[in-house]
Amino acid sequence: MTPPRSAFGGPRPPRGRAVREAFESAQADSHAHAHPPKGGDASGPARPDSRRPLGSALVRAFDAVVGLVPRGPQLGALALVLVLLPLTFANNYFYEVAILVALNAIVCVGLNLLIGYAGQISLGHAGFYALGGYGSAIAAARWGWPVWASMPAAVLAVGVLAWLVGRPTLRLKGHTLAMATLGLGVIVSIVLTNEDRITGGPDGMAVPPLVLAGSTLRGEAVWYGIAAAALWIAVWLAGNLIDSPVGRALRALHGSEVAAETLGVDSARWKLVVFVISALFAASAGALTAHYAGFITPAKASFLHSVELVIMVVFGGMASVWGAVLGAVVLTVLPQALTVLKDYEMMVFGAVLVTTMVFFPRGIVPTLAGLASRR
Amino acid sequence: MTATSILAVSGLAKCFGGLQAIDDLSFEVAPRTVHAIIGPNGAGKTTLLNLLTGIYHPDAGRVMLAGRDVTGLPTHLWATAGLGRTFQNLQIFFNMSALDNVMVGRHLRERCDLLASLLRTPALVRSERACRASARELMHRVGLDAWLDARADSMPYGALKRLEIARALALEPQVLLLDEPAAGLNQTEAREIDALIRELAAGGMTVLLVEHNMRLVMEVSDRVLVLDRGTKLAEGTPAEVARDERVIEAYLGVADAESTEVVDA
Repeated sequence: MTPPRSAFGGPRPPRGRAVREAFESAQADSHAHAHPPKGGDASGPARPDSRRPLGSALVRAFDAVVGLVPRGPQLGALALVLVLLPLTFANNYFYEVAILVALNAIVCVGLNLLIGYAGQISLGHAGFYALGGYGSAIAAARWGWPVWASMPAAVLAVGVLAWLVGRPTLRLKGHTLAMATLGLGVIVSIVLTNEDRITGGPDGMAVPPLVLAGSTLRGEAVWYGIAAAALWIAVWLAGNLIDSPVGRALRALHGSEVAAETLGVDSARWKLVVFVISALFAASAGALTAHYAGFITPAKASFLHSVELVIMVVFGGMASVWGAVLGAVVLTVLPQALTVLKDYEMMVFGAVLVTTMVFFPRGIVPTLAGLASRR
Repeated sequence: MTATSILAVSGLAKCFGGLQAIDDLSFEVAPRTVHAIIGPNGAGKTTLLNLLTGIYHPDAGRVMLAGRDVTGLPTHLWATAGLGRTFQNLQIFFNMSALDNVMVGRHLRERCDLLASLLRTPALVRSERACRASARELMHRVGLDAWLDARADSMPYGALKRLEIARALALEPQVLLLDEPAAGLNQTEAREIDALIRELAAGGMTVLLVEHNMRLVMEVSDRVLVLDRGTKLAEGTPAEVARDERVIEAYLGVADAESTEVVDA
């Protein structure tokens, strides 16, 4: 190593520290906005080291559970939980809630790719969700398509719709996608309510059951299996995408769009790709929900449902697949559990949301991860 | 444009409201040289760099990069055409690891196949491994071995400056634009950057350097372009520019003691 730099005096600090201290103040302004954790360092250079043992132990513990490195064990753990969970189910009601959770989680995992990685908000995902369901229901009930064909066809059609909406809007900066999807969601909702000859109107329509290889799939246990498998696949696909050149480009866009562009990342293109993928996830979950429930109403397409989906993602944590799953679990189960409170249900629900956002501002999973890895 | 220049700028102009930031500017950069752009604050250096990466669109003029007209193309296509850059105020991906930052630089060099990414095919895993290896190699090349496994937001300022260079090099650009690579660095670190730039030039890279540090400019540049109020004040070898009366008046005349001393020497 080079001899201590006299300007800093005293014993030479660990590698890099001298430089950092010297420039902490000088660069404070240029760093502050992009770089919030740095602010904490300024209070005292000794602090990070004193925390390190506990911090790194927590990091290791956290990595073992939700860490970013090997996803194999995580996917294995998810599969194990999904398989073992029914052992705790006392009756069909638990199955129903679990199916609902899994299908909501699929939408959230997709939506999280858009919000957490592409940095865009969709306020119309309930529209895609409902169109997936209605599209498959209409093709099967009105046109007599087999359900195994109507589901993928409806999902693909929703993908095309998302592409048509996203292509012009994602070229623009700012939150144009939020506005466009908000409008789209409202239109979908109105059309589903008013085109009653096709959609059954506000009362909704009956949806034919899913028939595979000649046998009709019904019953809570079977559908739990389908929903759980679909969720596992969704998490696997999303994890793969994030951990790929595409995901890296998306994270880069989120970090600094101008820098990503100068490295050749076509931001409009990749944002569009993620938007379409998230719409496909929503439509798939919507189609599965419709065929499971055997019934679908325009309420699925409501603006409130779109907002609810965004809240699930933000609550669990943006830019975290597990956060999206957790958000869907908590915000689907909580209203069910709070029904015992009757009139106070919404009040307590609101209080839980507010408290969580105060203490876990980045969402539950990322805030916990941040605490664990803080130096 | 002559056949020998890799970057040719002609009649470039950019105006912000009433301010003519760049006014009818023309210059050429020969391949495998270090071309410095200097000028007092507000001379239009950063505007020029933003024009040369497609972040701003020029009001007039033309830019040819490696024989291709890139005027008015979106930023990501300038990268495709062979231009890499660093930023005066860092534009690091602080949400990623240091290595991931460099790996983003490989974006155009790797197949970015959506289906393969979703399914994580064995071919993708192999190409990711190769990408990681070349990113590590680049970090080694700019002297960041100590930070191979670091998160970007835990790195000191000097290391981040190098990280940006490594990231831009990962693009395998034909021309590398360095926007004040020594800004905010102390003497020792600035000299290390100095050595790095020489090494890059020796390896055949064309470097366009915007810098305030006159010692660095005088030591590493083959040619210097002096900007003042958006126009070319002078252009030539470092020695020629340092002797130029107008330059001394507009720029060096008000520089600090250190710069003057270097110029005298």
